[in-house]
Amino acid sequence: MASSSSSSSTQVKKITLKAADGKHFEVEEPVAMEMETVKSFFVGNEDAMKDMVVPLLNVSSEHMPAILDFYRNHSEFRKRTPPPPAEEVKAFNEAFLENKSDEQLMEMIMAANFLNTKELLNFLTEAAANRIKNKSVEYVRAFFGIENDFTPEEEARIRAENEWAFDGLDED
Amino acid sequence: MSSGQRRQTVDAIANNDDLLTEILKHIPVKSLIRFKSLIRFKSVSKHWHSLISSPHFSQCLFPIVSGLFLQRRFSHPHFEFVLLKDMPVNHTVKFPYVHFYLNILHSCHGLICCDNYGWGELYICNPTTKQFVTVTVPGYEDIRFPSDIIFAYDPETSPHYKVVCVCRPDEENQPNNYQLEIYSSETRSWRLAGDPFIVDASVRFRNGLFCNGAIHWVNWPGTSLYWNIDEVQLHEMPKPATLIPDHRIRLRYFGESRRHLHLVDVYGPSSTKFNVYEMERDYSGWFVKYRVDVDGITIAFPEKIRSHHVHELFHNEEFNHEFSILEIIREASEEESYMVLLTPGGKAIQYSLYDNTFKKIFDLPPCPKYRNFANLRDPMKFSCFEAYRYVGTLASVW
Repeated sequence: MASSSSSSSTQVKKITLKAADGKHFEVEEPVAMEMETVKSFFVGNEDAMKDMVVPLLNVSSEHMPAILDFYRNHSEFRKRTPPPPAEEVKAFNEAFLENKSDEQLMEMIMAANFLNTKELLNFLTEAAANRIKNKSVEYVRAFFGIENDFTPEEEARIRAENEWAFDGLDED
Repeated sequence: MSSGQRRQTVDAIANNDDLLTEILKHIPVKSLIRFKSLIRFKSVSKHWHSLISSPHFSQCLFPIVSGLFLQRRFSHPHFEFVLLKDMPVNHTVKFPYVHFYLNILHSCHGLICCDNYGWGELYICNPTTKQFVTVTVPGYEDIRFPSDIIFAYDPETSPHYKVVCVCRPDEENQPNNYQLEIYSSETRSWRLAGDPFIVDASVRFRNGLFCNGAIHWVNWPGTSLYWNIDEVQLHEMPKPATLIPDHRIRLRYFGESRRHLHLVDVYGPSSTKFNVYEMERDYSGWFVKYRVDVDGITIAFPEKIRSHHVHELFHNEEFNHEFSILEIIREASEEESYMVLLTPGGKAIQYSLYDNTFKKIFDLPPCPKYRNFANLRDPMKFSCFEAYRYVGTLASVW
């Protein structure tokens, strides 16, 4: 077993992950094991760990460094005693999301979903929710690239039924 | 990533109900924004409309019971609201102002059925979305008042609800001859359900309870019945083992949680220890589900019953007791299952059915001043038949 102390990080076993476009990423075992999809790759087959390359067919290499960065930091936060101040975690999370476009956020949600990583998925879906909360219907359609398939009459009726929910929106 | 690939990713999310639900449920709970945003987003597309209106979506977002309405009969406002879960519902829950005297009849999985005290109209409301529809009671023009009106809605079996009326076609000559009529939100019309039937005189169709596709009427020591809606069949319910035929019941609770029927009957002198019975799925009998000991509550809140005499004027005078049980709620994990009690002083107490601990959750405010019947009943007194659940749902009422 690899030691959990940071001084021995050089001895930590590494796992190679292969992104959709073929690029390889060397990842410390505990970080890689945060991802259920990677973990399940080795279940019942511990010997396979050595020199194994795990193909991640649905994850673009563009987002791999950010995803790994998220897990490296968050597993460090979890291990630390006393736990880090909430502001520190918040600052990291905010910096993580800064300059990420809506499309990049969605791609990372798809990646997190594929990797089956609850913590990251929770974090990213919350970020997406914060971007659409209290926004107009038109904004949400554009955000998700959804086409309006109601007829004008149907849409007017549904809006009229729920009129009270249409005041006090945030600006798009 | 090419723009074509990006487009694909966004489409993939827009079409993935699990991920959309995951995103939408993160819209902050502690504000009205969540309700308003979700209700508004129903008009994004047909797919979103059906996703957000689906029972599964509401189950992911809302606890099974968020609060209780306590019906104040013949008064305005119509009810008190007891908050059970930390949600901003008390700001959003609003009944349609359709009639000064609005009377809640039933609450099923988030939809609430009200009437205007027998004046021929029913209002099916969703207090979360504030939508409601009006349904006219059959036979109202002929001044045939139903003995009981029961609202039946279970989103796990159907998105449509039903209303069942227990009518007496010839009340004067054949008082024990009944006919059931049923309204379906699918057809938006009434029809007769089965043939007329005669029951023994001990049966009283009152406070019918919908659970698991059937309506249940408790009449012990008389005959208790249940009627399966789809089978159109009336059955007798087994008697609880505790039944003492010649004794007056001091406290009764009859309710439903997670599609299980629960019963509490307390007889004789004051008792702070009693059992909650649950009906077997196959209706073979009642078994002890919880053992309750509320000694601690009577010690912590030593309140005397006030104004005994006023209840004699009401039909439910038998529920004359130190406290009432408003709700028994089974949570997904048994450790979280609880009961809501009301003390004679108007304190709502949440009591854990797992470890007998309790806490005060609500103080009933004094009664509104301008009630017509203020002197007729104790304003601090409610039974389980006057407590109705508030469950958040974004389901449509039509």
